[in-house]
Amino acid sequence: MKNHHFKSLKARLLVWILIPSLLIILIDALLVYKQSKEAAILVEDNLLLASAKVISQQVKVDGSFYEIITPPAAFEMLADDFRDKVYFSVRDKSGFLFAGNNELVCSTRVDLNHSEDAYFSTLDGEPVRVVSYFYRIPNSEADFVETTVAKTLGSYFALTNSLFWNTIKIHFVMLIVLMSSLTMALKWTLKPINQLAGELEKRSSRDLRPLTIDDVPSELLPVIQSINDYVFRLKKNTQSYEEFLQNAAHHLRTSYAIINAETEIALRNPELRQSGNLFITNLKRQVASGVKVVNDLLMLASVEKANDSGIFINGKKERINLAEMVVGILEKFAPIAFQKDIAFNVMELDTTLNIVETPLLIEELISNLIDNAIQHIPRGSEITIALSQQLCATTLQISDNGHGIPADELDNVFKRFYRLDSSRSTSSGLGLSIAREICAFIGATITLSRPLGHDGLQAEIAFKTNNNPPI
Amino acid sequence: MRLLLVEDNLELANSLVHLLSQSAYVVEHARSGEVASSLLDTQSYDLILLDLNLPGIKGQNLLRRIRTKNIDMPVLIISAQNDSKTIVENLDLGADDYITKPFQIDELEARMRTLIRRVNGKKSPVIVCGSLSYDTNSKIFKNHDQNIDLTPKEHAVLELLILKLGKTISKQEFINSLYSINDFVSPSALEIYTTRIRKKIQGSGAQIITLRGLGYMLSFVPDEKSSL
Repeated sequence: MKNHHFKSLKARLLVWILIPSLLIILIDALLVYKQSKEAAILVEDNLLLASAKVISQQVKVDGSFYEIITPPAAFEMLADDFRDKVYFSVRDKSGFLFAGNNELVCSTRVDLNHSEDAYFSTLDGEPVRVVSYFYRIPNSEADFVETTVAKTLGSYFALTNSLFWNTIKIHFVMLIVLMSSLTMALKWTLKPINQLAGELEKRSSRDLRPLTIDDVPSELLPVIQSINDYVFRLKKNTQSYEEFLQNAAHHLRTSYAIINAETEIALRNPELRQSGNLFITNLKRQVASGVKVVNDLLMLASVEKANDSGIFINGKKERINLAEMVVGILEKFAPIAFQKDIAFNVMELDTTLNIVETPLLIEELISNLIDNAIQHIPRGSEITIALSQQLCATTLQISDNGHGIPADELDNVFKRFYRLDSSRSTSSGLGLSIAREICAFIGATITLSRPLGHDGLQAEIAFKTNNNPPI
Repeated sequence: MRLLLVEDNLELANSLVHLLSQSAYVVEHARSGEVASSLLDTQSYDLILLDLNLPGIKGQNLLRRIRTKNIDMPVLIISAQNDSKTIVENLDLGADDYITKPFQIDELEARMRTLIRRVNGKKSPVIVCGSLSYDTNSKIFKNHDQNIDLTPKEHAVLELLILKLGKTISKQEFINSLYSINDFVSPSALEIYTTRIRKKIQGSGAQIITLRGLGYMLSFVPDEKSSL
């Protein structure tokens, strides 16, 4: 969890392209700024020089007098929208100012060899650009004037900025285009990875089939092969776990068989029967509940396996008459219910309903629900059974008038080894888990609810209707 | 009755030998398929109790050997494997019955009796439910070896129940069946009969259980204290 952002390959790639691009833009911006300044100064100098030339050309010599009519055009060409101040001065060869502002001194570098000069200076506390121009007056051998024009820097800065920012704007537009096309390209390139992720996500947690390697980009191939290798190893583990379960169950069963036989010997011994009857009976009861747990665990394992593989190996599908099966199961449980003073009440029994399924599974499903009801309701209660054809499903309802299950616990009771009342030891705590797994396998739905009009629990199984062939 | 018990687990074998001897069986114990195979070459038994998971020759192979040698002694498989595939395979190979470990001794003995009876070609004329018994030849009901005194109608009702022991009989079936004896039996009369019969068979462990909406069934209900 060091840097959540960089867990994404896409973000990583984008960042590694974005950072150098920004760096390049930064360096480029510095260069562009310098170039913009140079371009702006060139424009400014040309204007100032042109202005100086126009002014100079108006100088006339009359003997030792200089005459000048400053032309408006010379200043108009310098006018701009930035309220820049313009200064000028015209001096003779001795440096005498005969027109313009006295503050504007002439350049020291302008002479017969260098006819013009441009530089920055300060006037009235404001920065200015100054251009000096050395002008030889026509028709007079040695006479010349020096014209200096200066202007504050408003237009120069404006031009620099506009040149600079326009270039930068174009850069950023290019950057955005680059990043968005990169994002799209990445999305398209990473599509197989997303598809792979989607396919894995859709799978059930117990689906251990290998992934297909057709149409996979070569870069992804090693990843998929590693996943398949891993899944293969997992599958092997699961198989050895199943073998272990079978072996463990085998050993437990044998041990229980021995305990059973020994307790029987004890029970048949007249002396022991007197002294240790209660103890031995308890022992026998515990063995019975242990056997039930072992059998239920194996049943759960085999139904879970059936849900993984889609095949239940311990039986074949047959046509089952549900009414016959329900009656058979009730007959099996009748003595146990009688002992607990629990009555069976068959409300409705449609004898025409058939399904095609594995009898062992259906018997296990219904038995578990009846057994669950008997285990969890008090003496003197009643279990009501109704088998009927509802609108869209063949429905078996098993309801009791016991204490029921609080609404917020209804989901929990399907969990393995979950017991509402942990003091009960006769129930394996697996019955409802098995029932749910069987329903998932045969495509039936199981619903637990509170019966209409009284306390208790109602379990309802809706069998898939397309499973019911016409009779 | 001579039995051959083929079981590699010594503790279980000892307990079974002990228990079955009490029930007047003569039990010989073979710890492996090899021992059992050589015993079967010379000896004859009324019943073979065979465990599947043996060291050396597996139970299933021993069963195959027995049947290929045309030895037709009844074989009852005792196994911890309870998957239907194994059960079906072994029954198809010629086993006569299959019981999964752990089992109740009563059930094992009942299955043994059935097998021996079947092989001897005799159908037991006496139906037993707890200490209630019915001799189908003499038509006499007994509880703890004492004759039960029943009226003809009660006798007919109880006979129907014990002949379909453990199965439900609907009120309509009762009425149809009793019609020939008496003119007409109303459902309420049926209730009176069952109440009376219940009193007369009290203490036998046999109970007439009402399944409302279905009918009545006779079943052995062990006393709760000594039951499972």
